[in-house]
Amino acid sequence: MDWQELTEKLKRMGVQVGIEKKPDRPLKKHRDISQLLTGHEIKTIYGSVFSSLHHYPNSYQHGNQKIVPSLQLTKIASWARSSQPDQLKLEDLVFLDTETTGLSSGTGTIAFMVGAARFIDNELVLEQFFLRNPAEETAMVTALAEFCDGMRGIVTYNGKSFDIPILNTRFILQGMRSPFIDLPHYDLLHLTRRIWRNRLAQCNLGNIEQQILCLQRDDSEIPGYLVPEFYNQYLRDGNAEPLVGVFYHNKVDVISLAALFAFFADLFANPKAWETKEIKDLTSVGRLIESLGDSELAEEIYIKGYHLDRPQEERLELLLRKARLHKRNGQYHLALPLWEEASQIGSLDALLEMAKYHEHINKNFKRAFEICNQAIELVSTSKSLKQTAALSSWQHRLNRLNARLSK
Amino acid sequence: MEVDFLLETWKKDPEFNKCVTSWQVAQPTAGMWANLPDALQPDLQQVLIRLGYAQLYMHQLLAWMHLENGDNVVLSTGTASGKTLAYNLPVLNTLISRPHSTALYLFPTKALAQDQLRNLLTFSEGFHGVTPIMPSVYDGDTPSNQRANIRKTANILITNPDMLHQGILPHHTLWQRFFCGLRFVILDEMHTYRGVFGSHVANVIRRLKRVAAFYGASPQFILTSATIGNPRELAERLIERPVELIAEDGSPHGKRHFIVYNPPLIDPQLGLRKSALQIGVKLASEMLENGRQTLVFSRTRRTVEMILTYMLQRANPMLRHMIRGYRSGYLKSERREIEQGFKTNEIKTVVATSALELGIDIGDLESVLLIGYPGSIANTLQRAGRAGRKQQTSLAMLIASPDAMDQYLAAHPEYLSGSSPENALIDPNNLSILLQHLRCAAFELPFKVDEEYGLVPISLTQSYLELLSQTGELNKQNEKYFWVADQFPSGQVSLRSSTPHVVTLIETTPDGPHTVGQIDAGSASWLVHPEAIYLHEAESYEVKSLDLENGRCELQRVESDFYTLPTQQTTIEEFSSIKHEDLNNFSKHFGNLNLLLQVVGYRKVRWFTNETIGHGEVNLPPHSLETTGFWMTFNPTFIERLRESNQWTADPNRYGVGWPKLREKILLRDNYQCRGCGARPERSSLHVHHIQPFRSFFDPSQANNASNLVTLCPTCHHQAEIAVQMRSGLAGASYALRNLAPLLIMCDREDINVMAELRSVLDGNRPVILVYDNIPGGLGLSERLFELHQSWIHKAIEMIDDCGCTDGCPACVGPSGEEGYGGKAEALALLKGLF
Repeated sequence: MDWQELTEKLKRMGVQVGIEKKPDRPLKKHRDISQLLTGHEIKTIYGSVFSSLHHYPNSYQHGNQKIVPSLQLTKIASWARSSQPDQLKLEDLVFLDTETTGLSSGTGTIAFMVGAARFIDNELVLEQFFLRNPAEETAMVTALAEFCDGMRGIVTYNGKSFDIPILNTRFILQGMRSPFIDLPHYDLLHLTRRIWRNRLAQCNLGNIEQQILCLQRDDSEIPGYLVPEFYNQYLRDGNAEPLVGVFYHNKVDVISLAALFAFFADLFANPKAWETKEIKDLTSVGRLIESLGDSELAEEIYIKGYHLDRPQEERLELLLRKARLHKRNGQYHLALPLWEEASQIGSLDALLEMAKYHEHINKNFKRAFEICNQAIELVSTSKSLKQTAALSSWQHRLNRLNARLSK
Repeated sequence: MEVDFLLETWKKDPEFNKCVTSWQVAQPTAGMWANLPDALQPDLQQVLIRLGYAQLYMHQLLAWMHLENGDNVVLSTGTASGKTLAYNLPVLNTLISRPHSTALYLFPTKALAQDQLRNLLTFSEGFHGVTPIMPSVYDGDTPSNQRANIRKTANILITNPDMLHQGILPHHTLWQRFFCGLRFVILDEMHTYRGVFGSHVANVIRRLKRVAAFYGASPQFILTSATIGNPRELAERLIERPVELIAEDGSPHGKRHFIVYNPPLIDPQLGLRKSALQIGVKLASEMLENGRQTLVFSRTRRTVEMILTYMLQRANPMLRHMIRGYRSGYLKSERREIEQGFKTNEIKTVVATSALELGIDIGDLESVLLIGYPGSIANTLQRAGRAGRKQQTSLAMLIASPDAMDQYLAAHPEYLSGSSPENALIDPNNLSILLQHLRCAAFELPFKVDEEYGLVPISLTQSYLELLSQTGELNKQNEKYFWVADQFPSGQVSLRSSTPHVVTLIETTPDGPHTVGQIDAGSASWLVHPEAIYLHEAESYEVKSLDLENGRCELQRVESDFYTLPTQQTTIEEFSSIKHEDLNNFSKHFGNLNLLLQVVGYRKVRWFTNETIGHGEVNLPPHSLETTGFWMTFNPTFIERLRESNQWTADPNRYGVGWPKLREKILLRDNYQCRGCGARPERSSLHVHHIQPFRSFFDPSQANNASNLVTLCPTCHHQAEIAVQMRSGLAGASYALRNLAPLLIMCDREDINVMAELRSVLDGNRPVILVYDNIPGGLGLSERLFELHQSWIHKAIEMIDDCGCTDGCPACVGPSGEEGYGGKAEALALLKGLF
């Protein structure tokens, strides 16, 4: 039974096999990738693989951002738990982004393109390894491992859960050890979320490019979700033309990684220097610095943010963060005015802190009682379910205070 | 010794004795013992002795020796014979002696996996210092934050075939360590891997072997099975390697009574018997009053509730708290409480569905009552085996229901003690199932052009790979096929259905919709047509709507005292014979069939009495089924002989010369309207039907009396005819054959269909009995019946001969109609002529 008979048989059995009629494509359109892009063949002991090579000088501007950090890498290296963070050089890092045949994890998803970039001799060297067919994978991972030789860290966007597990799988399937295992990993998506989650609706790389790097991609760009389809079509008809857009997409992604890394490295090195007009940005940076254990620096950042002229509701989180910092240090005289200010914006959290302070520290039950009443009034008119749910705990506090007052 | 006392009382009771068709007593045996093998690791030996296993049963040692020898093994010894230790021993020993080794344990259910984990942990904790045994359960319930750690550390991985298929194999690179060390694969309760599910599992095993080979591992397989007819064959088909069978049970046991009780006939004419349920209630109550513990098994949730109610009504109020039900739908905590109460003897009677059947430990029981045959001998023995796990005297009793199989076994109880005739069948090369798994396998690892996939003929594998290249899912380069589609194929494959197209069953509850399960789209119109009663885990649901296009079926839970049987119209579109054999008076054929199936209606049948209490109509589109079948064609001279001796009355009727005129008169009388459904189709398409069958009259003029004639549309006529056709000898014989098929092949009722055709295209408009696999592509079920035809026909003759009814009842050739026309004698004459 050949495949056509088998198809007929399966169809009669009610099994859809989904063979689509391919349009007869004129052969003249068959264009090889090497005719479309400047690139070279990389020879390995397992055969050769195609790569498109690009160079960007250290002075290159990507949107409004340089691709090279101005300050030391020590701080960001410690954040990524690099061993000997003060020894880390920009040349030690590899910037990585993959294009795949699908979005599912698992052994059947192939990274048909790997964009990898390193700083070498005052320029950023970008190789885009590309599988002209899946059988070239052995050569590709060999060449990739070679390119990454001596690296001390990888920089990706969402690579922890996507690109690196897929690459690790590809190495195992080729019977090799992945060079990315146990390496410090700078997943910039994680940092981006920490800084901009509260301000930007989407933290995907495209949006960050537009909002933060002020970069516009040109017409060559194709959206990421089309990538698997384009490659599958290319494998069927051998016409590489539509893939030019995929190469462009991947290339910009990798340069953006370098630019965004430079931004974050400098932010870690000197957070006070960031010239943002957004109080939310500074609140997030303060939080990040707090999590690294430097509360003095965090306070300075909160102070900087405090003096920005922004609408009241945007100030709220900063007020609470700063007050929390003071409370931890026992500086209630500094925390109280911040809570007062926050409570005037309608913050129940601030009222709770104040009530606690007056009941347990200041022992001013009368004042605590007043605050409770104020809160209950606020809660009972609130439309937020979460706040309404807090009502009983406020009632409880009120009753306890009442008992204390009547003693 | 009290249970002995009770048995003595029953033995002296003539009323009781009259109904006992078999009372077998297995004498106690001391067991065949063996010393622990010398090659056992000293650490493990100490743990074994500490846990009370100073000696082994002979079959456990035998398994050890075979495994040492590098063989694969299937253990098919009785319940409670220590099969678990038989495979744990070599596994644990290997894990200790070769530290990087691993083992994979597959169980059909999550509950059994948890049971095994507890068991293995007692071994694991028995070691001093760092334990070399690290078992983990990895299934859909495993929290995601524990998964990475399990992948890193577990050396015994306990899971189920579904998880292996969707959660492990497609991600095998994450399990590199585990696969590199894989030395053993255990398939427990192998007999559950039969039919469609088993055919899928066999393919999951092919993929497992393929992935293991990639990491340089070639594990040994250990399988266990309940007693079935073909354990070695099933094991060899599942793993596609030679397997050593160990069936001789060396475990000791006490005295075992097995009683088959057939309730007395109260109406021989209709074959009506006293209710098995009421007798079960009475006997279980007697046990309770005597302070004995009893586990009562019943087939449906509904009957569990009925038995409970009756027992509570009868019971002394002081004893009522000792009676409990156990079924799906009870909370987990409630179930644990009942299991515990039963273990500590605070609960005396538990009435359960199959929910309690597989492996769950409820301690040492002395009595088990089965109300109704559970559907297979393997299940019967498994349930009976819940009693007498230790060495006390034990009792198991089957109380036969009026169903055909129950009645057959009541007359032939030897099947319950001797070797089982049941064959568990799979077809891993079913074309539809194969397609699904080749996609999964290609996702897992690229295929080489000349690569063998299981025992599939290499040319067929090639055709599949070529087909998948044409669809763009595979890309062929350098003699290899690579998966390049943006898909996760195992996510689309359910191991429980034969095609990827499924219908989701959704229950409407006050808290919103709830998914009950999924079934094959192909069998949906049969199983869940509108108004059908659908049984799932012994729970009854009524089908509210079926949307085949969107694969959605809405159900509502109901308390129903009847079930439904669909009426299906089967048209043979094409057929081709693959093999045939001419025999005495008939020929048997096996071949390919292309059928057009349409469910046109259903019968409502009352539980336990099996009487038909109503009909309904269904309006569903026909669908085609390409499958395999076995049909019998009859020698014309044989039919002629039957006809001459008045044992063949299924011929077309000659209504007489005045018929066309009379017909027109009746049509006019009935106003050209169908008296069944009220439809007014084209006048020429209307039929005139004899209410009481024409051939049941001696005088044609009486049959053609106007009061016996009625106008019907073709659909209504067809239904009316089916009822009559059921009672012809041909139909009676096929009714008996259909009901007996499960005794030879273990399958669900819906997996095969048997039909009788008076004028069949299969034999130039001559009569035929046809059995076909109700699964696209077939699974080898009818092929096996083709091979076993002699034993099949023989059993059917026995069944009809032994039945106490006068002229047909649900337990033999089907119920005789109100007209008093049966078909028992005709069916018997036909079948005997074949033998």
